[in-house]
Amino acid sequence: MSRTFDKRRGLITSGVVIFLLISLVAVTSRDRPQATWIERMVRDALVPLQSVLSNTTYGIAKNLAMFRELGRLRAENQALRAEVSRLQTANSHMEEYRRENQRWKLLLDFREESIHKLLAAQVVARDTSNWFSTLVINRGATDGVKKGMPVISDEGVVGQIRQVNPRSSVVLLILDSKSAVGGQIQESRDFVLVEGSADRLGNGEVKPLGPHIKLRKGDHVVTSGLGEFFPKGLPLGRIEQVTMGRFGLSAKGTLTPAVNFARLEEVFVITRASALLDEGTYPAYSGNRQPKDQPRGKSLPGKKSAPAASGQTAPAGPTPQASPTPQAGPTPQAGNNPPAGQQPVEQPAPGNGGGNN
Amino acid sequence: MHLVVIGLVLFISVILQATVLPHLQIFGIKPDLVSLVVVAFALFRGRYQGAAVGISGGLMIDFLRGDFLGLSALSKGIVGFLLGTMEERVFNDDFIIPVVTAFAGTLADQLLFLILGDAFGLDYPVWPGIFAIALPTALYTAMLMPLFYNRLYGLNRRLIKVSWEVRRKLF
Repeated sequence: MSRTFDKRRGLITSGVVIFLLISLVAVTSRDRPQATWIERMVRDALVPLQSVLSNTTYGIAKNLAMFRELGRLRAENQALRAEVSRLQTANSHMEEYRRENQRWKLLLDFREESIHKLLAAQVVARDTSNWFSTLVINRGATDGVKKGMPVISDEGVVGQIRQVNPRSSVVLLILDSKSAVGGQIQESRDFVLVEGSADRLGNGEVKPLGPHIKLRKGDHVVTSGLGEFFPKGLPLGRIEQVTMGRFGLSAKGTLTPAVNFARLEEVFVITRASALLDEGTYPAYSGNRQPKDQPRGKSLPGKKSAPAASGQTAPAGPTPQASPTPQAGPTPQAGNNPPAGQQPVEQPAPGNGGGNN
Repeated sequence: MHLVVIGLVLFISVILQATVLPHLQIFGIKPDLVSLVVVAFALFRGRYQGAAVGISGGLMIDFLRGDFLGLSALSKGIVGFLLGTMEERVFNDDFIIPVVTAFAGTLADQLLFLILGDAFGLDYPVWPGIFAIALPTALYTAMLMPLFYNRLYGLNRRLIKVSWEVRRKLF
């Protein structure tokens, strides 16, 4: 009798628990404007602990890597010296291009775009499962972070704010299978869509937005600025491989992201992309506005950094192939280079992300 | 006492999962430490406690993620319950079976997550989901089982011993 009762009680309890969990999943699987207060409270409460653990792990990983790499560093040092000398020469050429670019922008009558306002943040945690590519940063609503804001690093686009808590936020990486960002091929100016990949190899997918668009290996992809959130010209990555569809009609590119997500410690949230907010969207740049004497596809001064196309005077944001060293703007802290031309940068909060500077 | 200690073990696992384990990724895959704890305690304590540990650990993971709240709790709870039925058939101090069980349990958890998630709009491609995530995660997690199993087994025995002593003193 008592055994039957226990069995029945067990069944009822299991049924109730399963029903409650399914209801919870059903409610929270929709796109919610805001997390519940319990979620916000729990996540924020964990930020200091996660921050300490992340810092410790990063420190250990860095030291281990240093010992491993000592031998390699010597050879690399020699190579870098040669590279510096080459880059100095290249730099003077670039300066020429930059000046030429400015003149062209005046000619094209692009409005001078004010620089992005960045908020520095520390990565305190990553997704606990392998199904999602997200990370948690120590900046939240109290720092002015809002859902949808783009997140970048000194190398390129990291992702987009997915959820905001008072003192922390969840960032959906561009690698996540649910992510889709409007992109543009730097070389051909063609528009593409950059999506996350379902594999866990750290690559994205590039899909051309039109049948005439040809993807080529080595092409650099930047944000197109045509979407709702991302400003134009932020590096997304490089096309590593192009695969054709079954009947040779459609092509798909494999994107190697500009950002090394495995070593991501600090990021910047674009809290204000002025041109984007002022005008709602960037002026469409078709890539056809080239002088007649400039053959399409050839290196166009100012093309490398896409904000040039939207009228930004400062050397544009992070470029995939360029050094991450900023050409303008203050560094938020030692060893932490903000994307060039994108200032002011607010200092990352130590540990749990205190107030803004 | 049991509740607090097991809860603490789960909490530490979840925090390590979010902070330390991303640095131990192999081909983009990190082990599922929480699954490992769920499998171990399900084998030690049977289906109901296994399910409870699975639901608790899953909910902690879900809370940190923010999307699909309860999905990991469901998948891990079911796995905890199912593996808990093996409690009396598995020698708890054996070594091979926990590794195999960890593989099967984690794989089942990942597959349940994929299938149940699909019903709620997770929309993850099935084959990459199985071959690029579920299988590698299960394999990696099972490989770590020998490192943790003895410690968790010892902890469980100590908990039981302490509660027996408390009962003996009280009655």
